[in-house]
Amino acid sequence: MGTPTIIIAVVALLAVPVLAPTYIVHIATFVAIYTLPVIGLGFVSGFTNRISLAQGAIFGIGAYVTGLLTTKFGWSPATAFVPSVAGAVVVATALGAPAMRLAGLYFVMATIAIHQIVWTVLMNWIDVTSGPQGVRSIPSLSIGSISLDTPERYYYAALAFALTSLVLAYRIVSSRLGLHLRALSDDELAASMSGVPIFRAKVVALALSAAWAGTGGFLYAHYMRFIHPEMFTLEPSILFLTMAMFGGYRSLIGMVIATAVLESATEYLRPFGEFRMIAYGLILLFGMMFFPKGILTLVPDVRGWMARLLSAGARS
Amino acid sequence: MLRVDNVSLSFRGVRALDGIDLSVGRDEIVGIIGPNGSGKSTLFNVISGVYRADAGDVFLDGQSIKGLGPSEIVGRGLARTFQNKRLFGSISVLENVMVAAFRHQTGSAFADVFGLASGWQGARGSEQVARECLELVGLAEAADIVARDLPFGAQNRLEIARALAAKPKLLLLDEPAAGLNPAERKDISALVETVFARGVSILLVEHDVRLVTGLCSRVIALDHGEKIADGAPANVVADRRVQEAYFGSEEGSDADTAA
Repeated sequence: MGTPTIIIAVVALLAVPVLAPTYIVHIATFVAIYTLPVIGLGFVSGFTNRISLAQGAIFGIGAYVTGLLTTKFGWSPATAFVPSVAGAVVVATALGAPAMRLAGLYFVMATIAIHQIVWTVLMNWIDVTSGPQGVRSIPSLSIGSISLDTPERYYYAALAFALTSLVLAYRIVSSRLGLHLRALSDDELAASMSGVPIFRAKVVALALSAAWAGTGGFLYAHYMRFIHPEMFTLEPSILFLTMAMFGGYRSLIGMVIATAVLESATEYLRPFGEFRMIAYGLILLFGMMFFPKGILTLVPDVRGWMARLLSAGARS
Repeated sequence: MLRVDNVSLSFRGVRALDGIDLSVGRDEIVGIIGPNGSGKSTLFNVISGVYRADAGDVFLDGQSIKGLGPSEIVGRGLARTFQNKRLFGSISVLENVMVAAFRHQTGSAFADVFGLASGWQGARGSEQVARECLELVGLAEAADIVARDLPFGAQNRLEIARALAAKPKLLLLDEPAAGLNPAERKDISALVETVFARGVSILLVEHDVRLVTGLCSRVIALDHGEKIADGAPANVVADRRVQEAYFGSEEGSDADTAA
């Protein structure tokens, strides 16, 4: 993407709360928040070829750490940010690093188990987490004396986090670590024979993934102002996975676009009520069938069709 | 440089390597020949840390490297190529080589991500090393091609460039001339000599006996996981057991046709 495209995109994103109704801004805020766990998933799925269904739980840990610190211990959200991210990273690494030795379906099963562990703790360790009562009255984020308690204001905070995380992820993917990860996802044996410490690189990918998810959870908690274990079931995990897969795990922009398309689709699919997840299933299925490498692979396809049509037209 | 000491390895009771001894001195190109299934690749995998020997030991510069993983063994100064071309298909030719060149890059990963000077300079240093290696194997022009689009004949040379980027003292080449036409074989031979002239010792597995005898100062022959000959190329090729291993027990075949 050229600089002009980036400037236009950023200006358009900044203009959303000015031009769009609150309801749309609300959805846009969710898109910005979900971008984080989805990009995080890209580190694991894009580079270690492993599919995680625990991202929703790690997202939940980010949310719970800040939720509990700010309500029970009176911390300010700003001070709770680092513990929130660190909590997600520590739990994900402690539970996930052993699972990294597994591959394929076995890894997926392990992440489901990790998800269940986290969910069970959130639900049943009532003294700490308040269990099924959830955590109420979480303060909103604020800058100085301005509370970001409207969707319009919060949107800017979420957008700032999302854009920063996108730039950081881009820097990581194009750095030495990113190249190590791309090499090992192509051929683990050749990568280790080129001096890439395979296991450590995978664990770092996992930790990065958790840091992004934890940040997303932090933003989610302060936007929702109320969290409950039922918000962090397998459903958000599947949602994040769908988004990452649809975008193409290795394409940061693809994942962001997919998050936007699918998150607003959840709104369009609301009339389907409880069949919403079936519609999601169909999207997942067709996505796998037609764009296994993500929606951005459509772009060259469409260009190819156009070129072929034009040349066919020119010949006749 | 390298000493393999009485190494044995079995797979589910099948003895793949049986008490192999061999050594590669500094400034030596040693070739390993043997029919298919004689244990050449298995031996390479044991030396490079992909497999762990059941018995025996492997020493590099006098230190045991048995039980170390491949990435640690590369760190000790041993690099290898693969017979079946294990390139990183989705990244560019230059990046393939840079992955291995990073081994010598100092500075933390954080410096890279946050664009600090040390990260930036380090990356430029690695790129420089990678470009030199590509130059050496004659792939400088192809630096920006995605590796999977590289023609077959060039893939061997990229494997060699990638191995060289790790700056090894000893290079293991697993059939570098497999599947190449005669002109390309000649190029690979010349390349191996160039690399050797730069002070890298070489251990080479190759089916092409003519190429092995042309390049190597010493040749080792394997059959059924055992070493059956070790010595000057002409003597090893003429050895009766080697002849039998390749051609059965009939006498009088010309070893040069063994390719």
